[in-house]
Amino acid sequence: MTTQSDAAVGFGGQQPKAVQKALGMLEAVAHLGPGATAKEIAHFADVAPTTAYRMLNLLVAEGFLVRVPDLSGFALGRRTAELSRAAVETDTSPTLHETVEELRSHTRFGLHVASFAGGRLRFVDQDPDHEIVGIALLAKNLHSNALGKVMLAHNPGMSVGLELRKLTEYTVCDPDVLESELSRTRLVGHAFENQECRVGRSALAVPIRNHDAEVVGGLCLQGSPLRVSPAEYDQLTFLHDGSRRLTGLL
Amino acid sequence: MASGRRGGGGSRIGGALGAAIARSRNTAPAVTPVFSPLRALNRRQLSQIDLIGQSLSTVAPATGMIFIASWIISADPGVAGLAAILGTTAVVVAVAFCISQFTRRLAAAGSLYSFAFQGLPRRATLTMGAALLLGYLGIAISVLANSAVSLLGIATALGSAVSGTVPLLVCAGLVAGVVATIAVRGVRLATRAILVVELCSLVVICALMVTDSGTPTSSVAPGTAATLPFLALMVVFGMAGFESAAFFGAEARRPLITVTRAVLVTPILCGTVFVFAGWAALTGHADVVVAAYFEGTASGASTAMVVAVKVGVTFSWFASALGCAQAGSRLLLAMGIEGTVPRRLSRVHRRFRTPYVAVIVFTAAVVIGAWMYLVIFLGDSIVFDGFVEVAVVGAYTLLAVSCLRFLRRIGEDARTTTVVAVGIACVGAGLLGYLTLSGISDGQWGIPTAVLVVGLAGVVWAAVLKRLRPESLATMGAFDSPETTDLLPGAGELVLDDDGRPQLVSAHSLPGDRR
Repeated sequence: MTTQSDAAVGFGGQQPKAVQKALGMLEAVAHLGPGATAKEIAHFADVAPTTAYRMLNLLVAEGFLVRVPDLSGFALGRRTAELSRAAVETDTSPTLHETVEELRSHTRFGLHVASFAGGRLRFVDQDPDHEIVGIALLAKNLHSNALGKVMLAHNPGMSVGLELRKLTEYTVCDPDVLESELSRTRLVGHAFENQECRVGRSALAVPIRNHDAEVVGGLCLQGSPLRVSPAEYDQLTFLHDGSRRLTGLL
Repeated sequence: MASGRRGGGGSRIGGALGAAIARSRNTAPAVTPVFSPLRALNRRQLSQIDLIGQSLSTVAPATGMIFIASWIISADPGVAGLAAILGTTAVVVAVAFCISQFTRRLAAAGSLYSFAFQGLPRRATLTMGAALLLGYLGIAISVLANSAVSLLGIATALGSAVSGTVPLLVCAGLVAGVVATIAVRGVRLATRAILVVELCSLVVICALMVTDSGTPTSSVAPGTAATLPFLALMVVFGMAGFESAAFFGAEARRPLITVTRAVLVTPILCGTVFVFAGWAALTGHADVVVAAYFEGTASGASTAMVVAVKVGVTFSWFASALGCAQAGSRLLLAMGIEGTVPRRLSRVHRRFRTPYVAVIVFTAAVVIGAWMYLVIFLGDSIVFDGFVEVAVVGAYTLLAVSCLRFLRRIGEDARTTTVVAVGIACVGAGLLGYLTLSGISDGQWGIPTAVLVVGLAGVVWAAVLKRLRPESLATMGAFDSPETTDLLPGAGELVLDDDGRPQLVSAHSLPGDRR
């Protein structure tokens, strides 16, 4: 949090102290209410007036504070909300990694989390006990794996003109068959891969959403084709429950 | 890493701040959002470099170098001349410091005029507006006329015998046409263009001065008063317009930081190249350049040298004309938004988002003025320059007073700012008083008349407005004020009062709410 605020505000030298003072001033404005003057803020935050004027001007320039229209006082600016991310990180709610680790303790299959940010499939939390063999193939052949199918299903533009390479004898290479599979994924909320990327490996995947309910990634359960299957009701409920707990953490 | 995120830093965001942030998530957007009056402009476009380009080109340091070098060659003041340049630069930097007290706190399109409103009564603000308008018009007029003269000088040096008044007038008209077109086309194109142009001319002049071996020539500079105060005035005049980046508060990215930097850096840069020019003149490095500019090939300089100097200086004049047109048009735009000039002047081009009506009106006024200048003042511009100097010095003096009152009003005055502002106000008022008295005692009525005209302009303007558009006096002082979207939701609400001015009211009653 400290470094993030430093970069954003651009104070020179003695950064942690400067950031502490800056936060103290924001706290003072929040406490005193809109229209608090520089003198009142300096007094409340216990900062020397000239230092306070300089820092208040910087906080206004960066959008953390706003000067009231007659310029004599201050109110909290929109960018103050960015500090809430830091605030969320400092509260007791678990992180993505902690949540996934907790989920892993309830399953014997491999459990992986991928992000779809920037239109790319990227693993952000791989199961340490279950290595993904041929991981590079997954991002390049979205049609051949469960996470890729979830990504394609929720980004319809991406499947246009996609090269459907045949990786195994099970790979879906017919665009129409793939399309019907994708629409089924959208409908039922999960995607399935049956040895389509690698013989002897199957997977189930469900989308992970952000707080605005947009799909930003996927949670994937990998295992032997004999065991992992959409017919297994327990596996599906486990995955859906997991993705719900990961909402907003990606 | 996870434990780091759970570290003690969180204890700092809590209390009222944490509550305000939490409340912002549950606050519905305002029903009637308030916008900045300058919203029509292409906001948040210009970078730091663009702003320095704008300020630097308005000043046109390359031309200032030539004139300062020529004065030093003819007056030969020795090292005292360099000291005078340095001292004057320090005073101008102090003025810049006063201006920066405003640029750190508000972004505006009217520069010193908008700043004056924050600390001065309405009549004094209008006086500042008149001084600024006259100053920029004056600079633009002399710059445009000089660019026409030096364009024809290039033609003469190349051997084509074009001379006379008519070609000069045509040249001035053409340059103004190009200036207006670039200024309307877009603020970024214009600022980038003038920075490149100004840097090229600076490099040319500096390179010529460095490589000049100092061949003694019969340099005859224009007749000037050989006193150091005159040199000081010349330096101030040479730096006039250094604050023109302040007209682009609404169009700059992170304006409170970038405009402030541009305003502070420009006089320092100009002072440096002026001292360099003074040194070159004292050591004989500038003789050929100065002679080549003022006398052309007749001085014995080669044609290539004359053309290089003239092209460099012409570019500098051109950039300055463009800088003035940009600045002047923003000033008219700010006044048009308030209604202190016809509101039509505040119209913004739909595609380029520049104040095209103001650009055209300002450029047209400059062309007419330049034609009169070419006919009346070309031989002896002392009266004209005196008028502009009075306007510029008057504006800086008023600004220092405004700075003092503004900081006191908002309760952010410190010892440094008070000392500097009082100092500048005294120096400026003293200089104006000295010029007026010496003008009266010498029977030269130019400067006393100028002081009278600038001084009365605000009173007359206010009287006219009171009769024609009394409501405009209530809507004065428009600047790039905060918008509803700039506020943290729930931290306060912007509403417009009866005069259309935004006011911040408390959105919720807070635990520590002030009465």
